[in-house]
Amino acid sequence: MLDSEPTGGGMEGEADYARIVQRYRPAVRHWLYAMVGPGVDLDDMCQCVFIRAYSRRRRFDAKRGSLSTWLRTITHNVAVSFLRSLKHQPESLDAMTETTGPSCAGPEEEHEAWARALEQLDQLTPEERDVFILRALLHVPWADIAEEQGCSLRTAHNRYSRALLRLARAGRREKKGGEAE
Amino acid sequence: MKKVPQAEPETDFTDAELDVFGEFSDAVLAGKSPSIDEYLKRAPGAGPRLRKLLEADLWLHGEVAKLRVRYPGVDLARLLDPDAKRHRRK
Repeated sequence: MLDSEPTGGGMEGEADYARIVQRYRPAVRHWLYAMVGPGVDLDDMCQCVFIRAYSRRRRFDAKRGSLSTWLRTITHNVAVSFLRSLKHQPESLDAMTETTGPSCAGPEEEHEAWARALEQLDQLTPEERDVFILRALLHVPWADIAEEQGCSLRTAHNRYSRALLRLARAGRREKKGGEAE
Repeated sequence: MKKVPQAEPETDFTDAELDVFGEFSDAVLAGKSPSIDEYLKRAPGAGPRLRKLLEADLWLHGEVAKLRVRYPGVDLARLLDPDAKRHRRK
């Protein structure tokens, strides 16, 4: 879909900005949908992604990665921020949970604790992050994880334990109202 | 500043502790509600860090389970990592 970047990949002026919005808007919308699901105003979120990209355009460095990768990171951050903000927007929360039937959601601060923990994902190494995704969310057996990562079981356990302790520490710290462990 | 590749950090866990952790995690995923104390007995001399790790595993799976019910339309793996599709099993 995004097999080639616009010239230079930068966003120097309004013309560049308009061109990039036009080019990447469908992809950003697609990524957002995949991340936050139905029942959300994706147009508003798209707008947010591009505004954030424009305001941070000087931070983009084509040598470090492609424009699509950079936009994808911003999209990811916007989606996480959106989920964090749900507690301030009960109407959006209702829209997202209307198909769930009885809600088993805990107190709002628990959601906040989880969101805080998610922010720690950026602090993990790519390997730790991959093991976390594979194990915690996709429930992949240890042996398969080790095979997929080309490492030993011990290393897979190690990576997951580091990710787990970091996330749990962050989540619990938030739950205690910022109290250091 | 150029990022210098670093060696993978070790943890304080012994092989025996990591084995216990792996088995505990399997039990959690299987929905068996494992007892932390029971699993700690399998690694005599295990420090409080292992207890913390097992507690963290339980906490995480509880949080993920709650999120799955609360946001049924959300692909959590892709939320956490837009490239998570690379993890999809064939």
